[in-house]
Amino acid sequence: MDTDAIAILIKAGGSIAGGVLALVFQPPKTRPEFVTRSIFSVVCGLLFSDAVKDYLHWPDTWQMFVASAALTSLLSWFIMGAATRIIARWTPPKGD
Amino acid sequence: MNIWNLSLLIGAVIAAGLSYRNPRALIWILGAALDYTVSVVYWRTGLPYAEAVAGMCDATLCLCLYFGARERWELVIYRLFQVSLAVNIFFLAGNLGIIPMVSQDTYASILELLNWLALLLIGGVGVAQWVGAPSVAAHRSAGRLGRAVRSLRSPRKTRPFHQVG
Repeated sequence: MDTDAIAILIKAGGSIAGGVLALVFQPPKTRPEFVTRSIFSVVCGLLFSDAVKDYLHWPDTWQMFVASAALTSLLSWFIMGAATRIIARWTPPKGD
Repeated sequence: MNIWNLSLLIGAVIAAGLSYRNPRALIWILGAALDYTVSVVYWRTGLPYAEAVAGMCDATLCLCLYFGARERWELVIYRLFQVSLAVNIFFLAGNLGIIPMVSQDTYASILELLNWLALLLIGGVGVAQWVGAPSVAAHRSAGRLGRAVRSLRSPRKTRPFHQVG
C-alpha cells in the first residue's frame, strides 16, 4: 500500500478515536449537532494533526500521528460545541 | 487471580445479590465485570498498549450507559467510568512520553477505587430498593440520606441525543 494512503488511514483512525472520546466526554444535545460536530472534528483531525504534532514537537512515529490526530479531533469537537453555543446565545445589539 | 481481583469479584457478587430485584443493576455489574476482565486479561498477556484497550472498554461501557441509562444513579456510574477512561488516557500519554509518567501502582489503585465506587453505588441502590426507597425517604430520621436515595432513583433529566431532534 502507498505510504501516503497509510498515513491518511492512521490519521483517520486517530481522528475517529478522538471523535469517540469526545462523544463519551461531552455528548451532543441533538442529532443534528452530533452530525455536524462529528464531521467537523474528523475533518479537523485529518487536516490539522500534522500542524499540531509539529507545534508540540512530537517525534515522527505512528503513535504520535495517531495521538496528534486524536488530540486535534477532540479539541475541535469542544471548540465546535463552544462556538455553536456562543453563537446561539448571541443577540444582535439594538441598533438605531 | 490475585487478592485484588478476588475481592472485586466478591464485591461484584455481593452487589449483584443486593440488587437482585433490579435487572438494570445486574446488567451494569455484568458490563463492568466484562470491562474489568478484558482489561486485566489483555494486560496479563503482556501485549503493548494495555491502557488503550482498557480505555476502549471503558469508552464502550460509557456509551452503553449514556444511551441506556434511565435513572440518575446510572448516570453517576457513567461519570465514574468517564473518570476511569480519563485515567487510562493519562496513563497512555505517560507511556508515550507526552506527559510525566505516573507509577503503575497509582494507576491500578485509582482504577480499583473507581470500580469499588461503582459497586458501592449499585449495591447501595439495591439496598435502598430492598428497604423500599419511598419508606427510606419518608422516614423522619433518614433526612438527607432519604432525599439522596429518592434523587438517585428518579428518572434522568436529559434524554440521550439520538432521541432529540
